[in-house]
Amino acid sequence: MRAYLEIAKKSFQEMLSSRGEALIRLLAMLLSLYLLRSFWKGLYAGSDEVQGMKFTSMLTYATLSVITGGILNIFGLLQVYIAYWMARKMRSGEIVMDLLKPTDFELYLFSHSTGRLAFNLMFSVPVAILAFIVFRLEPPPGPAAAFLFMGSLAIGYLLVFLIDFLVSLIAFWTTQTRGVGGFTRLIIALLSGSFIPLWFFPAWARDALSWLPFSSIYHAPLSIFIGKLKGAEAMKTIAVQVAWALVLFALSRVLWSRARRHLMIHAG
Amino acid sequence: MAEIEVKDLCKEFTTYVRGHGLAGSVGSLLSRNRTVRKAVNHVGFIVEKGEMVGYVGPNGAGKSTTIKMLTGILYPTSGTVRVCGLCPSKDRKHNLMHIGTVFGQRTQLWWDLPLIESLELLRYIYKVSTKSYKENIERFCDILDIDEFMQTPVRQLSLGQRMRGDLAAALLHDPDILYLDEPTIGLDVVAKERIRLFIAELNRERKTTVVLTTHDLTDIGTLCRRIIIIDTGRIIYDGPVEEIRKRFGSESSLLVVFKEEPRGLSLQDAEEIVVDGLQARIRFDRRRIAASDLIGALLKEYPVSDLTIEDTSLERIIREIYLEGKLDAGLS
Repeated sequence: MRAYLEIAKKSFQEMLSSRGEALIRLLAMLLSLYLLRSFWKGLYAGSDEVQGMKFTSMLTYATLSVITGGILNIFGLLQVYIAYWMARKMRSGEIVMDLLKPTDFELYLFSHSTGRLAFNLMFSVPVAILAFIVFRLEPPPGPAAAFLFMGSLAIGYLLVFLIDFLVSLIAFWTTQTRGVGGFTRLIIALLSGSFIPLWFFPAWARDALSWLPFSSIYHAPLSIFIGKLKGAEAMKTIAVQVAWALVLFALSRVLWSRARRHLMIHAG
Repeated sequence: MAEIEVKDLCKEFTTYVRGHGLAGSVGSLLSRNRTVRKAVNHVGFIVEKGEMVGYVGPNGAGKSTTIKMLTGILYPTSGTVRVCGLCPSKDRKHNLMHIGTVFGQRTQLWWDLPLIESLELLRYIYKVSTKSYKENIERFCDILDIDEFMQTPVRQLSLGQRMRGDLAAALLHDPDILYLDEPTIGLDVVAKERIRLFIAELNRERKTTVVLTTHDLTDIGTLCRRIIIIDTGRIIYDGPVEEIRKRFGSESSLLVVFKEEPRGLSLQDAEEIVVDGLQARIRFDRRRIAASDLIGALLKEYPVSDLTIEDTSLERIIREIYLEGKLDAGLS
């Protein structure tokens, strides 16, 4: 296990070596926060409540969505980092060097990814604090909600990773994930509630989406945070999240062993 | 028990042939021509512990594909590989724990971090004890001089330095077997020599088994006693380097550019002369005639503007083995 912790540390260090990039991301994050606030302010047009949703709660949701995006992955909507990484390595044949490590490949990638997550946390949390003060946002309703939020967010991260990993394995057959990567990104953006919360969807869509893994990424933790999901309903949502994590994990094991057999490396 | 046992090994790759030009490209969206290429074709050999074997062939002969199957990252299409009794593709992690691999064209080092960081990480991945980690780092500093650039980000290293770093990384866990795939590619003469000396010493002192692929015959000449030559996926020679050297080692070619077309060019001691306009390739045996004598004879008779001496190339050796089949004894 120590090896995986060290991989995460190296991945974190590697991120630190590109500080310029981090600064640009930080600016992008601040800009999207400002834009989103203007967007929702415009939509609410001075009214305090729309469809039973208070403006402050909505703004809290939107702000957290940007910050969660920044934490879970590079920023905003780009959640398929591994898929692009894999396709690049596959095309150059560089994947050989990663496969030559006596490690579990999925866990190896997860450690990489978690190192980046730690780095993202480092600059996202201060932004979150700043946004809460400047926008005068609402804290979670109680310690229980705060705790559930963090648990739900952690499972959300696992799901992002698993979806990304599964998509990336397509590169073993096609050496290309641009199309499917972009599609996944779009699906996550639309169906996860990252941009538009699911309660603005029609009831049938909302119901259907709450059973899919995507809503676990943003909608579940953020709704818990603003107190929209609580009690038994919150527990049910988390149970769905855990179930999806288990299913996708099992799937990833099966698909990975098949992908490995299918590996073709022509270059060098 | 042999350390590496390869039997009847085959690897096929499926590729799709695309049509040419715009029409062809659009056409191949609808229907594709599937072709199967045999990268490795019924290859078999045995390597004993402590042996140093050169695995040689031109580009695309199947060298790297074989190495990738030995390391277990590629599954064979058919045939078997046994490394220390394990099946590398099925027992990938166990196999990888006691082998080291260097691919000359790639690096396993973290590009943006100083060299030491990559070595530190490998220590945990391979569960190297603190004591042997320290000893090995000291040893690498001694012979590979990696301490000169230990704190430098890998992307800033020269190719020679990076290769030394990669060697250190591959050997940190004292592997039983070292696979080297084109380890000297792109290096200058001094750097090449240094890598060769290091590998020779490693094999002598630690009895590390070395399988070395290259298309630079000098690598083989200085390092290996045994050579396996592979071409288009098949082994065409497996035997002592000495035999190849005896057969081809004294042969050279003289490349000549004349000032005017040399009519009826003939030299007494040349083995073969091929004239192409103003240029000619004269093959000769140094045991029969010294290069200086041959050149002297040539200059006396013909107006020459440029001269180059070339050693026998791998491609020619392969052609010869095919054509003449004189090394039947060594064929497997």
